[in-house]
Amino acid sequence: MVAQQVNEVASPQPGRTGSGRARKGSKSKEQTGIAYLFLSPWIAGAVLLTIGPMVASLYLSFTDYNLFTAPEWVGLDNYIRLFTQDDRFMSSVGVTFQYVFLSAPLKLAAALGVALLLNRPRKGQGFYRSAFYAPSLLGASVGIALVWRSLFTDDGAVDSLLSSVGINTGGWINQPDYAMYVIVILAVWQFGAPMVIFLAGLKQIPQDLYDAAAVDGASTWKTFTSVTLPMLSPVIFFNLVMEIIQSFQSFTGAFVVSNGQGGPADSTLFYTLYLYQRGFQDFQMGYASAMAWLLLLTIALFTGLVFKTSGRWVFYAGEDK
Amino acid sequence: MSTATLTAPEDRGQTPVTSPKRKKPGRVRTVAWHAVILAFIAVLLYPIAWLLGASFKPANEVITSLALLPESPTWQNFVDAVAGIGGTSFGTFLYNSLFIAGGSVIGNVVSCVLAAYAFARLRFKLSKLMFGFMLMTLMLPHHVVLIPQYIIFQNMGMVDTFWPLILPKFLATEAFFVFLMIQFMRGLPRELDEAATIDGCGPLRLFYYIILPLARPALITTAIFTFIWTWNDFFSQLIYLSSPSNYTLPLALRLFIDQTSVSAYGPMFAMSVLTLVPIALFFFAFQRYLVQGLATSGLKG
Amino acid sequence: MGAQRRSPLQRGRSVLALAMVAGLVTACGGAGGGDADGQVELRFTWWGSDDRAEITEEAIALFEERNPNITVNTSYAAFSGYFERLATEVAGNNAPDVIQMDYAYLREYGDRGVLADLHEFDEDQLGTEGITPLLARSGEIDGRMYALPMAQNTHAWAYDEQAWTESGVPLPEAGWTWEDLLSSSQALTESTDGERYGTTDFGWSWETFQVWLRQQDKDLYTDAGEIDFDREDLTTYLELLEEFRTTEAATPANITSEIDGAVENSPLARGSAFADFTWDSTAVSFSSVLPDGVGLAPMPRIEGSDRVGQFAKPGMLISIAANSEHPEESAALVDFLLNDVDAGLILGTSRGMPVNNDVREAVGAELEGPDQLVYDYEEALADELEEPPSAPPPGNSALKREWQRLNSVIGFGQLSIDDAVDQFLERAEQEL
Repeated sequence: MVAQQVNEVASPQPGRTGSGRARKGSKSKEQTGIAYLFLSPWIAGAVLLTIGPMVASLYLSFTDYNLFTAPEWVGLDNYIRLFTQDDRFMSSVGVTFQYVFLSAPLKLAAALGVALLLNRPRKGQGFYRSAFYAPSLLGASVGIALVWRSLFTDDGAVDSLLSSVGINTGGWINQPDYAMYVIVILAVWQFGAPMVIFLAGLKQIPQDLYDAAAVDGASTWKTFTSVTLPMLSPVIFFNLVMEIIQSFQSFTGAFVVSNGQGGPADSTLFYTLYLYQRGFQDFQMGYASAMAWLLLLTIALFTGLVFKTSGRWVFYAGEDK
Repeated sequence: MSTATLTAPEDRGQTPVTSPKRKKPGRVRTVAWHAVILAFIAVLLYPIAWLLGASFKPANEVITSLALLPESPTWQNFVDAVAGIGGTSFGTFLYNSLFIAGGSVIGNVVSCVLAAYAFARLRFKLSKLMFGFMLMTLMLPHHVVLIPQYIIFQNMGMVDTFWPLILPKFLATEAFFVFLMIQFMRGLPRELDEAATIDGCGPLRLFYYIILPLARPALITTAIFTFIWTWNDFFSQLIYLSSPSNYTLPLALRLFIDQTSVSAYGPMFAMSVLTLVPIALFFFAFQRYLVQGLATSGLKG
Repeated sequence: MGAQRRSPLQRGRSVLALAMVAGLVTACGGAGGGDADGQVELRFTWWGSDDRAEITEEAIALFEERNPNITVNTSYAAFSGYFERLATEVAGNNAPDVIQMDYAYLREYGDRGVLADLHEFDEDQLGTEGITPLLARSGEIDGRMYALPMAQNTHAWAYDEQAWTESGVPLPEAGWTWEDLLSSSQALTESTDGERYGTTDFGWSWETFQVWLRQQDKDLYTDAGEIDFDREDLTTYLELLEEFRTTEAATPANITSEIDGAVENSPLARGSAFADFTWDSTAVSFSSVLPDGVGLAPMPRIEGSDRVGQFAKPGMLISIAANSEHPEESAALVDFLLNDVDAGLILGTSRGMPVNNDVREAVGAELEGPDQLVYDYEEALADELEEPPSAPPPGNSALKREWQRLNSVIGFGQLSIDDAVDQFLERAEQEL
């Protein structure tokens, strides 16, 4: 299913490059051998470490597995229970969607904006880049969790600041209506990774394209839309796909900030956090595996959509002619 | 999209001019630019400043005070943090973290660039299927594959060594980076391949002489992220390392906080700060390589 | 014991793919083990912080000195994370020999054959006679002894002694009732004009509910693992909690939700409440946060009830893995940690009050400060403390989380008590 949706992007399209089609035949056979040579570590990793555990988890999703005794086959029970009997599952789905649609666009926008800002050579560039990346160095550690709590708690820095202009919230992190935003802010604050990827992508754009645009007398905006954006599109595409995948799976932020609880009142009970509670705290790994595969399907659906549209807006200098 | 603009230029000999349209920004504009960015950064770095401040707060202040700066600053937290935990020294944690992060960087860069080249530039059977599978590995929450993976490493006798943390990196299991490099390589002009083929370059030499140097920003990015993410990773290190002499900094960090005993927030903050230093240095040292893109890295070399 | 060479997951017959992969690379299976010269290696794992690691290592050094043929490989983690690692190790058939265990998880591990039955050891291998009778059998499930308590604990109402005294409201004393708690909490809140609340909303505490039930000769669970209370009990208790909130005797929801189990995040520690429900052993942590000292009061009672409802709770327990290759050496280590006076003096009260009477006396004689407070508190209650109920059934952790969630939701006014009761009972049916 995923394989189908990624057709477009999976590998260079035979036939797109005119010369490629003509010389197919023996050349592609030779390439297959070399390709497998290059892929050999990856294949070893898949066979040794990835496929087995994935198949195992798929199997476990149809079982009752408490970690310590042999799994018992229960068919679709776990899936049925999820949809018919589990309110917390439903609310975790809601929480997660809300998070994905808030954090992914905001984070990407921040990352792209700052990357463009920092792309032009200026004095102190290294410093700026490092400063913008600094929040991302921290990850979601215990330390940062405590900082976040102190900032967004009742009478914390944010609350005090808002109170001074007359808005009284009584803290963010401790109230179900606001807690989600605290985690979104934490995620957006750490926009360093996509920013660096955007920067690397910007650096890869050949200077002569800009020179040519200048010779043509293109405006700044025109240069941006006709050179920067299309040339950056493979990287934008990458960041978009990864941000979707990662925000659906977001775990550590909510985990450290709510100390694994997902509170207050389940307002930050992310999908994977609930999955984790089920698997490791309630010893229902079969149930957790069912949740995991449902998530996989959901993510595949969304990334599949992005892949589907990518033919229209992602431009590969290496492939289009 | 206006591809015409993109393929048009042939005059590569021209010296690169930086953004010719906006010649020299006026002094006022430059100052304003810096001022705005600095203000933005100040807000962004406030939480880190808070962390730094907290690391100098004495025990009773660290819990009750929400203020940025300590009222009576003390070095004691750093002294406690460096003293180590339960007889294991800070140096051991540092060494272990460095070893694992360093090994992971090498493994990831080497194995992912190889896989990415195959996916991005070579034509082979099953490529779509494999690519699809690779993306799938990203979509499954890792908590449910943890136990099967643990069993595999247990059977290989690798539990409580660094292998379960480093070996997967050498086997390109981090699809994020493979995908990242694929996207970069696919952006490289196809003309390069054709020119190289005409010169008699096979896929191997094409990879080594053309793609590898040009993909450098992606390689640097991979190195930076791998180092930092491995450095901060808590869960797999927790699961696979059980002897205190194998513990890493994130594991040590957590030992300061335990709900069932007296927690030491001050030293925890101090160790957080100390833990930040190596990755900050790493980032600062490597970020400048990001500057060198295609324009300067010897297209014609 | 030898039958358990392969992990349960591998035994699941249909996990072929995995087993094949694992089989391909299986090189060695024998982990640990004894050398020809009789040298034995044990693995011992516990949770706890820096301080506990240090003194436990010290005690183990003494053990190794006395048993030169045994080497103990230690492993420790913070509570958050400890059980995830343990579960993975057990699932991977790599369980440590000696395991610090929590009461809440005892049944999950014990019922599934992970833990050895300690009844199999003789008294001279693993002594249980010196252990406080109240607690000695707390690790027993269906006649098998899966664990021994490492420490004794009991419920308490911790309060900021100085602030409470200064407010002029009479201090809590033994025999006080829930009504007393309510009225004094109201008075405390009033004395600060609502700046600081009388008590922490104890709706998050599953354990307080248990005490309240026991005071009426009920409990959370029956021995068969069903819930041992009905709709009416639930409603009454939730209404009691609601009264605390509506009269501002207890903290409002936005403050209560800062609780995450850590002492430092308790409203008592953060100065927004005068008191909080807790385990008495955490008084030590509280007093490191509250410079003016903490006081401990027994749990309030139900007017006219003759039961305190409080019981001696095993603070932490210690178990031996069922498939340990060195059960006897493991038993020796457990025996040493629990019953040896020298070990006890090194370990002190890091895990709570020692359970062996001799050790307890020896340690008690050297206590000071907050440790002394806990010791005295337990001594004063000694005659009234009840025997602990049997370990909670599987499903308890999910139900406890549901309890906390519902109380939080009610607190924020998002759910009526009736609906909460319905939801809880429905959840209980599913989980148990």
